[in-house]
Amino acid sequence: MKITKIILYWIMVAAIVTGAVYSYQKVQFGRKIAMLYQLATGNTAMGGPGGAPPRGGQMGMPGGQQQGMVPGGTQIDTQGQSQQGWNMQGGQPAISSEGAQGQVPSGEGGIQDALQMGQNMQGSRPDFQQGGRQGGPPGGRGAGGPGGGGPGGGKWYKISLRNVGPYTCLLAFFVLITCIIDKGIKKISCKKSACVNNAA
Amino acid sequence: MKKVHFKFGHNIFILVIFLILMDPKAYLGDWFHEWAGLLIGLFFILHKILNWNWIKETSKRLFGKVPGRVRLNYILDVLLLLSFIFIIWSGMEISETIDFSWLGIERGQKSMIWKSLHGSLSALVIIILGIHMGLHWDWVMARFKRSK
Repeated sequence: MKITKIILYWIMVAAIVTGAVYSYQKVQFGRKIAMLYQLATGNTAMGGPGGAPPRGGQMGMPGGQQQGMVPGGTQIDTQGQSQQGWNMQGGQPAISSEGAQGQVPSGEGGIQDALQMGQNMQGSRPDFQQGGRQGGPPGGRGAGGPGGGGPGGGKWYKISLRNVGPYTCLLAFFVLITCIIDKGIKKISCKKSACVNNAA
Repeated sequence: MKKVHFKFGHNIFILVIFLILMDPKAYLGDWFHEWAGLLIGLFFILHKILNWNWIKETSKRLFGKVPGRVRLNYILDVLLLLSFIFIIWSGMEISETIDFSWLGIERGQKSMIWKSLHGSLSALVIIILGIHMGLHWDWVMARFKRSK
């Protein structure tokens, strides 16, 4: 009976010392209790969903329409008059009409029907109006979106036990150590007559 | 209810609250930690009032002929009292939810000195409390025996 008591006593001492040192250093003891508690109660205290991934910024504005080169103006008087072939000119170029294609060949002069005066025939000048400027570059990448969500809201006991467990163990450790020392001192004192007086 | 039963329940309450307070995020986080910290201060004062006779008598005889065990108990009690005062004071200095501006303490003032003092003294109190309980273990066991 006495041996069993001694063995149990030392098992308890070893367990508390090991637990105190282990939990104080690693702070794992409380977590394990919390995990066991969660398993037992079925409350897993799952973390919340993560936040949305960062979104890109808006695309840049599209470039402006490219205005094509303006075709040459309508050629007026393409056909020269028979006798009056002087200085036949093409018509005026159209003004800034949007054309899909640029560069119309210059107008031809009137057909030189006039045999004598067919000189200086000029076609209309093509109007090489340049298209509009290219659109701007695509918009830059937007700033990153907000970060992901924080960890899910666990139950309070999960957080509580994590720190409370090791400290409780540490407290128990000091209580036990003090008890052992106190009992030891009392035993030493018992050898003297004072112990008899106390017992009385 | 007998005084001794009240004292026992009161001591257990202080112990449980103190252990929970070791985790600042327990229950409702800072709010709970700060209010429970103030509450434990009041309960600690009550603990001293309940044991006032012992404090008074021992104070008178402290420098006379008293057993070493009693002297050790007295020194530990003084250390516990000082530690509790500084823990509560530093807690008020770093308080975030309770307004102590009427004491000239700015809210949310997170000075590292106060924070480290608060944390290290709390760890020290665990050790002193363990020794204090160990020295009074016979009294604790006697309460259980009496209750049976």
